[in-house]
Amino acid sequence: MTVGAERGSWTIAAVNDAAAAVNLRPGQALADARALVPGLESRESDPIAERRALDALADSCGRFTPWVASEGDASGMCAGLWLDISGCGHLFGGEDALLEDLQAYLDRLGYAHRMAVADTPGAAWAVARFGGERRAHVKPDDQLKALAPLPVAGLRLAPATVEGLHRMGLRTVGELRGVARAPLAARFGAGVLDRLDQALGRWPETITPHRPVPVCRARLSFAEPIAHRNGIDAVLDKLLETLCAQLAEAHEGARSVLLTGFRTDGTVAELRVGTGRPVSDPAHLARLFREKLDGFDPEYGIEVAILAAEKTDRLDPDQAPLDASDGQTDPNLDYLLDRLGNRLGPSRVLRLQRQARHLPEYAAKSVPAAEAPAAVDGALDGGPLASRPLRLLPTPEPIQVMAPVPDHPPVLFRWRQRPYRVVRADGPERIAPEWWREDPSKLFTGEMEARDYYRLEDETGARFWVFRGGLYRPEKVVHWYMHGFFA
Amino acid sequence: MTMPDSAGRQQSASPDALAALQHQIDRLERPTLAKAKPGDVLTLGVPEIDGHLPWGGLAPASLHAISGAESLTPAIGFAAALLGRATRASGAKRCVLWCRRGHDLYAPGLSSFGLTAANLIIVNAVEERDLLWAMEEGLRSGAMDAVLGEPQVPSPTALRRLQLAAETGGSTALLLDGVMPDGETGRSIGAGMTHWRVGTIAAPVAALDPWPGPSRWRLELLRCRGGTTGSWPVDWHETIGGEEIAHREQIIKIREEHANDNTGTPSRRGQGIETGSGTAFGAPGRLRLAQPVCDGSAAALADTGGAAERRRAASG
Repeated sequence: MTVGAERGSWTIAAVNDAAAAVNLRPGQALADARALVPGLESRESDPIAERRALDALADSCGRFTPWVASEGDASGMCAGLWLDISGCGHLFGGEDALLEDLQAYLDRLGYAHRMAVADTPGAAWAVARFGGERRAHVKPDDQLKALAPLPVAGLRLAPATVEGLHRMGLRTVGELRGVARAPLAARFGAGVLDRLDQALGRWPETITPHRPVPVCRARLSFAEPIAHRNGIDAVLDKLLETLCAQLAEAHEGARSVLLTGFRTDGTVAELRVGTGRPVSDPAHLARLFREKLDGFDPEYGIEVAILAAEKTDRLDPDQAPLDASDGQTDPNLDYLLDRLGNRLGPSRVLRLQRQARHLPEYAAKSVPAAEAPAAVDGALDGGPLASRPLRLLPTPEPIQVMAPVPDHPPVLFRWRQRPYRVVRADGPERIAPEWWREDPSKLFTGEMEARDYYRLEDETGARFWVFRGGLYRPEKVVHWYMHGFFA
Repeated sequence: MTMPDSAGRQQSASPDALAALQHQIDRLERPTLAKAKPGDVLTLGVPEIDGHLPWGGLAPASLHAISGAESLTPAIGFAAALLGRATRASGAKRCVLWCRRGHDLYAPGLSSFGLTAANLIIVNAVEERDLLWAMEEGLRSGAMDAVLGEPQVPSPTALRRLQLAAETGGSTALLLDGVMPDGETGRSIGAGMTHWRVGTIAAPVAALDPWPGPSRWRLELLRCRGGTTGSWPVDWHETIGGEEIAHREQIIKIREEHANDNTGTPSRRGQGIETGSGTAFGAPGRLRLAQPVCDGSAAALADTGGAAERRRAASG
């Protein structure tokens, strides 16, 4: 039994079967409960941990169906999971067999549970909670019969609404169904009728699954849990074969593939690989997975393995080119980029793309190599019209400068505690701030200023790119900055 | 009767026989290297230096180390120039890989070396282990024309692995080996086929023209397997607007030509060279052996006078 602080006093948040048997109910004050049952054991409730446990359970129920949603307040009595098992029954030998499996699985994990299968989520919810059976199966199109004897609270209504309905003498769903709809809507709003219609299957209900449902998936379950690397390798090959056959048939290629291993203890091991372009070649994906399989820990063994293509792109079947050198990218290169990206992270394998901007720090940006198209804007490929350094400091660093007269390039500067004597200088190259991108009034307040860039060469022949921020004005101290290095 | 015949054959066959013998020696020394074709050799584009190297350039499918003399920047420039030449040499739409830790490489500067978003992939590794792994993968895959890496303290084992990976994939491996001041030995000395050191050369004081001119490097070949050491002053002629710049006036002319182009980049008109893949981009710069400085003070003075005159004309 767990308790939570509510309105300044300890209140029962959830009870187990033993507590329920002695008539303890959530919402009771802990002091009252102690008076009823001396020696009552209680724990403080931890809603975050409970939420996490429910999410983990939702993940691990992915072995039954890809569509799982967690529902309700995790700490209350009504915490639950939705599983959309349409089309999944045949994998287990019928829906009843699936339920049996699910029940055995939850029993093994030690979760007290009740379950119901129905055509609509609303009916399943009500029957599971108020039906009184541990496992119920509502026959197709039989919701009304199943729901009629159940209390109106089974329609997922607000407590105030339920109380209002009780005051009107409407206690069961059957009674509610018997009364005229218009006065009901006028009295309680459309919510009651919507829930009723949804439960009976007359109105659609959308529930967002816990995780996006993959486009294609392949599933294998094992009689004995596998924990050995060889076994996992073999399973992976088999899954990839199935998945890639599905992908090829749909003319799709995977961009992101997730391998999920459902462990015997109800936890989940996951391994994801991404590719730079759509792939439906099992060998390519297998090599990417092999790299990372060390991070896939089966612990005590994996009972079910599912391989899902989370993200796919259109991939038309390849036509062998007559001329091998017609600008096609090298598949070897794609494979290399995928491997590098999967091990180091896609944001660490980059291309440096130039941009049509004047300010030097914005004239280039790095983009992940996997995403960038190999072809770039030709207009930017001609090289700059002025010398640009090979290395650019991420942020310009202040330098102390000596110049004989204003508007003259420096003859001496000090950068990082070291003096440099300038032998030759080229400049200035004036680069105006991008007033069209920002508030132009900043030009007049001095927040945005033009920069005068100089190329300097010191006695040893090292070349620097420095700039003066702003123009010389009698009343103003000008600042100089080091910005880059020429080779 | 047979004597002249055999003598004649001897004469005509001797260069072939020599080449065959050389090939045999190569095969014995480095089995994978023997497979390389002469076209695979990465040349520097400077006939004097290429002629000095036993392979007529950098030996293919092997490791080459580059150190900086005072700072690493000229060494990075030299390495970038080599990478640029490597992508152009292959002709096909292939890439070069640059594995490094920092992220201060600047795309507009790189494009002058012929390295663009289309042919340069940068790996930004956090750990030394990852960096060496990425280099090895790049070399072994054979998908890269050249792989440049900047490991901090490469162990002899790591260097040996890189060499083997380069042989397996048939790509050129370049190693940026940090700064190596005079009198010190580089960390990776002994590894690879060649070891270069690149330093800057101070500008001759006589030249008072404010334009710094092309970057001038002192290129030292510290070690060369099967060859001798050497030292050359070279100029890096960058390109602006797709044209190689030799005089200050050229820059002014190009800027005027493109004055109306508001993107700050040249129009297609200014671009001459096409690469093998057909992508038009500005001709990258090139290395040239530095010309001896015109020591006549009269010439330098005349030049200064010219510059002063130009300034006067511009202001007037």
